[in-house]
Amino acid sequence: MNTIPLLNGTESGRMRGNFVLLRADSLRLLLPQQDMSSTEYIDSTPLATNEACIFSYAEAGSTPRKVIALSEQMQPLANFPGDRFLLTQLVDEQHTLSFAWNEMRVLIDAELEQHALPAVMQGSGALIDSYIELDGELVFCMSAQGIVSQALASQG
Amino acid sequence: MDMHLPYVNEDLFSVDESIPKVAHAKAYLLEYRQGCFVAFPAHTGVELIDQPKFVMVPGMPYFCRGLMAWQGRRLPLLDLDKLLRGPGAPGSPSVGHVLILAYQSAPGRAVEYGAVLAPSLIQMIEVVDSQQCELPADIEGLPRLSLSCFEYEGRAVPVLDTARIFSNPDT
Repeated sequence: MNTIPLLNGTESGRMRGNFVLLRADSLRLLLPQQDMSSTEYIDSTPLATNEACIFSYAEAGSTPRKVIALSEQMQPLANFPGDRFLLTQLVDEQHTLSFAWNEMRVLIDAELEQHALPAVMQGSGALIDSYIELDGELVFCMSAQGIVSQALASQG
Repeated sequence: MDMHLPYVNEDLFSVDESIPKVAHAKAYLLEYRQGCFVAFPAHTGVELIDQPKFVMVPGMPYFCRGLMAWQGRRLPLLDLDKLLRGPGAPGSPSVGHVLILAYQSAPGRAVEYGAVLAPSLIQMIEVVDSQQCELPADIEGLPRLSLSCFEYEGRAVPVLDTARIFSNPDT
């Protein structure tokens, strides 16, 4: 099974598998590829709905999908950013949600060095416990469930 | 310009028995907010860096500014004003100078590093035992974060425990 392993108290460890890198402005997240169920490009801006920070997107004749756009601090944005042209639907048993990104990269059979965040950043309320460095950038390790839970909790 | 501070012992807990016990010690004095000072034992100070690059981490505690790159590592960067005075502390210094500090989470463990905002210049001072005083009572978290306290120019200056502030300051 291809998941991002827990470091279990160690400072770093290697992991290998298929991953997806998602970028929302300067926020970069790494997910196991199996956590993503679909990806699509959008050619129009999703519309606001009655729910705060939830947008709706549908191609002609298709069922509208609920869309969330995250900020660099993983907070759902109230206004849809014009430069998010990629939608990914994340695997979550409880919710069907798509997230909007600036960029997506698939890393096939990648071997990555995972580092634990410093202890001071892993207190109660922490969203992230580890990261990798890729091309000089910091990429935070997450699961689809983690992203969905955080987005919905912040959205209220 | 970045400035290296004096040598850091590889084992911060070790005591050199050949050095006679003296009633004075050196410390770095840091003004984390106008008129508010803390000190760090001199052997924990490593380097003063100007405007480091840092990355904010979603969900990090209110007193963290992010992760900064330093010598191939990523260090937590803390805002002491927020750490000591809580999330409601008004204003917040921009990330200008930061002080790199060394700590050991337990005796015998590897030396680790962290960084704190240093909005004003840092002074090296000498402290003698007779300057010891009570911690300021107006900052709730000080007893669990401090090693001791001394009086300096009419102010009580807590000496912060680097291991505590970079390991588990909330507990």
